[in-house]
Formats: sequence, C-alpha cells, structure tokens
Amino acid sequence: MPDPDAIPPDPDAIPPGPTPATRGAALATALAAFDALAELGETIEDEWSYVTALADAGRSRLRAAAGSVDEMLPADRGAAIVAACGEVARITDPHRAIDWLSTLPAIVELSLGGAPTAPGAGTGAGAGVAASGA
Amino acid sequence: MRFQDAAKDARAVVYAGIQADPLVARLAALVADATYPQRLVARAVMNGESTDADTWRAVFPTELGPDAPERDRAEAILAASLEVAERGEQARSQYRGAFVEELTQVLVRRRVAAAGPTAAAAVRRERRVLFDGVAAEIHPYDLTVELPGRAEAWDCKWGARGINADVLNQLDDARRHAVDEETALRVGLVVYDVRTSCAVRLAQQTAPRQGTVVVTLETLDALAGRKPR
Repeated sequence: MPDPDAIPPDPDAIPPGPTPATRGAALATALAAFDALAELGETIEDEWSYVTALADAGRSRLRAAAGSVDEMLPADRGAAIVAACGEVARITDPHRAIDWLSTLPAIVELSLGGAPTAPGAGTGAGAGVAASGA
Repeated sequence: MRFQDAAKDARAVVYAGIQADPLVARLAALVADATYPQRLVARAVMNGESTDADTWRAVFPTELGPDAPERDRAEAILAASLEVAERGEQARSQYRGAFVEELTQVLVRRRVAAAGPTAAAAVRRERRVLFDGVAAEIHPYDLTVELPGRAEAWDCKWGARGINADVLNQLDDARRHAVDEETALRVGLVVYDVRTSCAVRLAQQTAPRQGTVVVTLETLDALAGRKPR
C-alpha cells in the first residue's frame, strides 16, 4: 500500500547516472555533459565562434584533468562529478550553458584533484596584476 | 587627468539599491578571504539551476564535505550564494555584477590601505576619468583608485563574455590619454571567471589590450597585493 505521506517524485529531477569508478569513466561522464552544454550554447549565433573555441579548450582541460584513465576514483569524487553533470543537465538556457562551459571543467578539475590554473598567471593581455602593483 | 562622479539615471538608481543590499557586502567579504575552490563554489551556485544546498554539497565534497578544511567559510559562501540564486534570473544577474564590484573594492582597498590610513578612501565607485580636450566616456568605471601617481581604473565582469571591444577600447583610451598628459593610469578588468575562458575571449578580440591588466578567478588575490591562499 503506498505511503500517503510520501513526497511525490519531482518530474524535473534528473536521474543520477552510475557513479564512475575510474578516472576514465569520470572523464566520459563529464565529456558527455560538456558536449550537451556546448551544443546548447552554440544556439546563440552571435557567440558561435567563442563557444566552439571555449568548448575545445574545455575538452582539453577535462582530458588533462583525467590523467591516468585506468586509475580508480574515490567514490565521493565520482559522485561529485555525477552531481555536477546532473546540475548542468538541468540547464535549458543557452546563455547559462555558455557560462557553465567554463565552470564545469573547473569543477571536474577540483574533483579529480587537478590543480587549478597556475595562480598569478595572466591571461596574455597585460598579464595578471602584480602583487606589488599599482 | 581628473575624476568625477557619474550622473545617476533611473537604472543606476535601481542598481544602487542592489549594490547597497547587505547580502552583497556579506558575500564579498566572505569571498575576499576565500580560496580558489571556495570562489568556484560561489560562481557555480550563483550561476546554477539548483537552489538545494545538499546538491551543491554533493558537487563540492572537497569544500563542503564533512572533512573539508575551512568548511564553515565554504558553508557561509554557499548560503549567501544561494540567497542570490533564489532571487530570480534578472535580479541574480544584477546581484552578481554588484558582488564582483564589491569584491574588487574590498580587495583593492586592502592593497591601497598600505599607502596610509586615509588611502582606502581614494578607492571610489562609479567614477568618470576626464582628460583635457577629450570627450567624457558614457560609461563610468566600476572602480577607481584616485591616488596621485598611482591612479587606477577597473571594470568588473561576472563572466568572460563581458569582455568586448567597447570595454577594451574604453580602458585603453583612458590609459593612452593619461600617457598624453604625462601621468600614469593603470587600467584593468576584473572577471569572476576562469582564466581559460578569458584567454579564449581575449584571443577573439581585435581591440587593443596589451596595456590592460586582466584579473581572473585564479588571480583575484593579486588585487589585494597578496599571493593566493
């Protein structure tokens, strides 16, 4: 007999995928979510060039973060990547998708233990702010 | 070169209300002392779909998990960021912009304060930079440092998409006009986005940018004159 107090399932909820056990499986999960984001972002025609370049850079970051693909991944890290990918799967706004093309690889780097972009380095445009700056 | 308050139009008056919201100052104060991963939490949550805290704890176990270092700060950042996210799409966009400006002010004031007890007051918001014989720019700078010989002008952006030709040209024009007056003006962009995105965006711009400093999520601490935590 059904529980009358049970909370009905959220129709918009994204079912979680299987938790990746290896870094390679985590990479595959992240790349699938990332590709969907890129496809959504590309629908903004004015930003097509930026989105495609950003997507290329993002895939490179993801692959670099994965490292040894056969290496086992702690369960909480695999679950974190599934949770992050579940979050991006909820995105329907292409503008928000573009924002997440930069955020998702950074989160995956964190989960996989990769170092963030070297602190203090600039962007190639006048470089970063010097600590002893103005 | 001289500085001047920008005239406030109706939109600026509405935005001023958001800038003055204590939530903006609270979040900026938390993030000013945060690590890079904690700053990433703020970006993700303020830009996310979910407003359920447990979802974000699952996404960021290294920052919000039971064994995370400095978990209290990360939780406070999560709570404040969720408050922004819960304000609806249009409002959250304005809150994010106000947050980046406030954060920039907090960090720059820490660096400038080393110049003396009253120096922090030289860090101003929403100011124009005027030069003799040059028409004033329409848009004021988000933040200026108005110290003789150490002047700065900054624009603040939530994401790399805010980098465009207009912004780069305005900053570079100001820097060049200052040079024409034989004075120094450091100009820059503070972008609450990762370096990769900014680099990709900048690579597609043809506007001059060699004299413009770009500060990203990874390098925010340099604004305060310190190394990343």
